[in-house]
Amino acid sequence: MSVLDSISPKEIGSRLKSARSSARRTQEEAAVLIGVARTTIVAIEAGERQVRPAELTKLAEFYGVSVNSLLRESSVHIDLVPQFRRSVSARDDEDSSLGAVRLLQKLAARSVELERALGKKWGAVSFPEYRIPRVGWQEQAEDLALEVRQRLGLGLGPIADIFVLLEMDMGVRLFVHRIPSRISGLFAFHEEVGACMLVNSVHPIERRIWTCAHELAHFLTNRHAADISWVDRQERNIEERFADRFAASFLMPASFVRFRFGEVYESANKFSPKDLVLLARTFSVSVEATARRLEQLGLVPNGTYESLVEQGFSVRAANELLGLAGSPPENFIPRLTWLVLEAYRKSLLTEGQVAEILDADRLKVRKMISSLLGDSEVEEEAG
Amino acid sequence: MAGFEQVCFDASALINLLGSGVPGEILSAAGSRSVATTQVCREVKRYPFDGEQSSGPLIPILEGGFLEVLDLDDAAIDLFLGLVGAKPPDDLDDGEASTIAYGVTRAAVVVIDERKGRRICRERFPQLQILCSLDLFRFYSEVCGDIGKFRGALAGAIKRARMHVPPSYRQWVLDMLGCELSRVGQRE
Repeated sequence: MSVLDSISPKEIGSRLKSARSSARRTQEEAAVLIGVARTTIVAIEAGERQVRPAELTKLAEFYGVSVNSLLRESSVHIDLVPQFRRSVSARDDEDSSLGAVRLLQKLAARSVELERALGKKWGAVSFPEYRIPRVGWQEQAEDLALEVRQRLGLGLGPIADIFVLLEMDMGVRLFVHRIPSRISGLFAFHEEVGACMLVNSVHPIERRIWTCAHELAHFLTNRHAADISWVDRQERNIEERFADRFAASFLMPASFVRFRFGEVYESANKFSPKDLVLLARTFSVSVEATARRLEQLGLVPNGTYESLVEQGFSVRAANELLGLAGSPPENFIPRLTWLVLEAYRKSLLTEGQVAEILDADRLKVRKMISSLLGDSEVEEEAG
Repeated sequence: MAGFEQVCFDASALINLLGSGVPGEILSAAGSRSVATTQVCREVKRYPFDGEQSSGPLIPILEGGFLEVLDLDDAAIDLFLGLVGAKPPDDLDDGEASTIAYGVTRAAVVVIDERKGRRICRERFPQLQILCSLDLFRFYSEVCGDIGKFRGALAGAIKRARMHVPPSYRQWVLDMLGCELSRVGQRE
């Protein structure tokens, strides 16, 4: 009996359709590849006709996915897609959106699966949900940010590592993975899994940090409404504006910003672009976000950032002049990575599966295994 | 490897050979027909190697006839699907599964370094002969007349491909490389 006999045609058809969409291939192209009519591909994807073994291996290669990932039976069934319907349908690139949502879903399911296999528990932290008022929401965003900081014992200074904070102190399942560059991140809450966030690994770390803070606001105020953060955000409803204000305040508390700005200004009688770059580096956010924050707090005139850009200001050039490395250092290792490596150590995953889950090349995986697992990696079976 | 009609390589093993810098010579020294499935070659080509696409170092050994790429036949595909679709945690990745499927259906020796793959082979296919990358290096050491060249190949696989050295081979590698092992190191 073939393994395909034990898998629902509808399920495998759905996975094939998803893989085809992510690979941006047409049904016609797939049909030509395996030598069938387009209607056959339609029937396969609808679960009306089971795909044949040889067809499956060819389609997997064509879509750039492993057969393992197509057939893999997960013991954790999470469906986040319905939560994202509104966000997905609001854009014209549904394929990108759905691909990212399914990735978040896959990573979340993997996390839970690995935890169960390894006998590990996930410590979700209880945080109340807050209501966004229609009036005075800016002040509410500032207050909420300060309240969360206080609750976490963060004080008013820069946050050392928001990624660790989210995972360890707030119980958020955080994933950093390559997704379409137009998407900054995603957030969803599931009763079985808890809060999940996916941020784009191809974005600069400053943007990832901002995305985390932005999605954190959604977790705190509207956690049952899943969110996709787009680089070119079109919809500016109150929830999105609140989240951005929260992010600004959470990452750059007003009192600290005023204090630091005041110190510089009193010393030099001005606040130069160089100072702006240094302040941005202090908070590990972008220069633009920092400038906007200063504008927000009335410390610099509105339009300061646009004015700088018009004058030819270059962040890269400023960094070089100041002897700063391109970006702040990155030391965060997601919890999923640790789970995956532990599973590898116990021979529950192959090197290839580790590479696929972490979206890393084999040599990077080997380097990770070597440096993070060290000699414990060499537990060998007999023979 | 005298006596082996054909040897089928997993992706991990192939990457280790590529790291040696002399994969063709090692494969030639084996004296067998060396094959890899299309799934394995896809995995090797897809992942960069020393900052380059692996299709770079892979092409010479393919074009030089040192390695053949083969598709699975129907019987192997059925077994392959059974291995990739097995209930976790016993499911394998495409490269390993295709290597084992080929080895079982064509009575070939397989070269697999992966502990999970080797475990499943022992449990389900005890008749399948399994080698590891270092077995090939050992064979190469017996025919390679230039000890310096051999040491370079072994050190290359360890350093460039970060080849794992199992405890059973630690002393042998140390004897071969001597003090060079501490310079090569398993970690940087």
